[in-house]
Amino acid sequence: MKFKGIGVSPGIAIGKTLVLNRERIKAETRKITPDSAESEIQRFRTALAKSIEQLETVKQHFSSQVGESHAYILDSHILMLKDTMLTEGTAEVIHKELITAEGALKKVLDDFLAVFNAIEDDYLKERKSDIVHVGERILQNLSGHAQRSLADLTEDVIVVAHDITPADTMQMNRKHVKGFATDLGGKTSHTGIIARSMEIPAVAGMGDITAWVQSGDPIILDGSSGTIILHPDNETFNRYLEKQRRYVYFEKELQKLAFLPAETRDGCKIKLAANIETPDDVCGVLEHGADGVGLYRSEFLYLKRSNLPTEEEQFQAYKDALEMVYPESMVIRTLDLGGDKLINHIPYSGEPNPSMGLRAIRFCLQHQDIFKTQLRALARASVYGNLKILLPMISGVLELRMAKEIFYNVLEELRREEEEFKEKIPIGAMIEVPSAALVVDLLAREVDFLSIGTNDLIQYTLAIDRVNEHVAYLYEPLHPAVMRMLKYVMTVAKEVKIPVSLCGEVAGDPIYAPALMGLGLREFSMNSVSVPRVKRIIREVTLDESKRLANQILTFSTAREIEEYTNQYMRSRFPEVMEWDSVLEP
Amino acid sequence: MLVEKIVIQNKLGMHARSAAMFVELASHFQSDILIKRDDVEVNGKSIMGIMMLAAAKGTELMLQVSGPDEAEAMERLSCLVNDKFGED
Repeated sequence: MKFKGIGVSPGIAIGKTLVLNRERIKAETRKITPDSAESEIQRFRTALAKSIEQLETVKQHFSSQVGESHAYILDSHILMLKDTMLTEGTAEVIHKELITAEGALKKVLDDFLAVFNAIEDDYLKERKSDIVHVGERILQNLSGHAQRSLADLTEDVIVVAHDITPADTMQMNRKHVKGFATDLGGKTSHTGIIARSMEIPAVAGMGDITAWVQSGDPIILDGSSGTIILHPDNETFNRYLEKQRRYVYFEKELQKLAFLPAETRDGCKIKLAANIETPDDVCGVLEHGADGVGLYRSEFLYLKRSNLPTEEEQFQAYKDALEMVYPESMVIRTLDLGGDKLINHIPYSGEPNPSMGLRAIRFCLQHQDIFKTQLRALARASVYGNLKILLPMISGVLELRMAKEIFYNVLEELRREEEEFKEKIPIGAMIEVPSAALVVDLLAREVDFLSIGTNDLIQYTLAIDRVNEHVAYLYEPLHPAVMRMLKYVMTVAKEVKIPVSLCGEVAGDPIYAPALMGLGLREFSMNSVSVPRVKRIIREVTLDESKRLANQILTFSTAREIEEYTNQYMRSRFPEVMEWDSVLEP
Repeated sequence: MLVEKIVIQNKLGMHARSAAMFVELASHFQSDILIKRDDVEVNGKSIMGIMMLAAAKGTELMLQVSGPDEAEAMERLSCLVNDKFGED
């Protein structure tokens, strides 16, 4: 029997079903006497406190296991448990209507859910499940029922449930849970998000799968296509076994590549570095076999907080990251704030056109105290690894000189204070403003390396505001003007013998790798997960054919022709590799 | 009392994470913080209240802040919204 739902986390699981029967706790609405109202409210508050305590425990456990990034889901549940609308609202109903805590809580939650049912936005509507999960946890604690945890399983299972709470997925014993399927939920449900981060195949939105299946039933779960097959016949079973084998094989092959060099068939070595945002991301860099870090966006140290990070704090963050990546190098980009990334604690003048306004290096040159603090931290951290400093949004030589002068003053200051730092820290300029691209020969004389930031370069070259939906269709990464500009920058860089790398979304797309190499690129920087995929293509091509491809691309008049030609070329040249991608990415 | 119009700009709207960030920041201030959408008015320090507003991308809200630290509260909260809650 075959069921179709939504694939929320790719991969194939074959095994035995475990139906997770969350005993539905009946919310009994019984009358109480006026003098027991206080003790009933107290019972409710105890259940709240216990719920918060449980979630805090899961959160601590989960953060240390999988990282902080998804713990916010639990934070929002904890905030709900502390929300006066819920806590005082329920207490008030108990007090006024003289009913049990269960009944009062149900009343309050039903009012909330009624509002959510009317919401049209799918993503926001999905958040209804957060309220349901929180409510069920309180009810469970009111009833004193122990929660069955997926943490203490002893055999391999595929979990099938009406709904799985984020706390459930976080606690799951990954050794034994091979996949899961739920009646409810969708791609954007927290459950899906977490399943992907834990790399467990999962399907959601199965409707009433729990009504069809019993614990122990043989089951196949395909998280890529969103399919479930119950009681598969022999033929189906073998087909999926083969599919699973191929999937595992592809993943393994990709992983093997992590430790092989990115080198073309004719022996041209390409450097594939990673983009990171926090020191935590370094683990992924190493796992995926990237050649160091090509872009560390330092502004994440500054966001989501109420004060500026101190020199000491920054020093520690840079030092940690540098040490982890050593002996590979790490390019740290100085503060790139303004534009679409504003900072809470710095007065902001409300510019009508922020992406062309006071941002990045312009901002730093006006707020030199902030800039100097960062440069001091960077210079001090330099002794702990291979640091390169990258200056964002440089539009001409003067800006570059001003920034470098500040840097040298900072070094002078550190010398007087007898602080340690490396004497020769390479300084680079970001090429992301068309004017910088056009004077790249002049800039190249005064820096140690260049880094092309395509996201902004495309936006400024084509005069397209990426976030403006009216013109977003004109944002064409493969526009002939962009191709010419890339070609020009790389040609000049080669002439003056200065290394140039490229970061931006284009760098991480395997389809464009040969074309970019043909244009002259030898250093890419991308999200770590893309590294093995791009590497796989590079190891299959020759530099010669890449050059031919690039030359062909430069003859086209529109972005569409370039895109069609490249896609077609790659598809016929690497049919097998393109098939891999379709298997790996649902 | 300060009143300002804010527009939700992040792709996912005021969902659990962004609402949690708003509430956490709002709770740092002594001022009373109210958010209005059309004729619905909720407490800006209540995550469930904010989620009930169902403020998807592009929704216009009125932010009303009154109390001893109203100026700072208004500035920081509207910055958070304009910063798209740190989402890209």
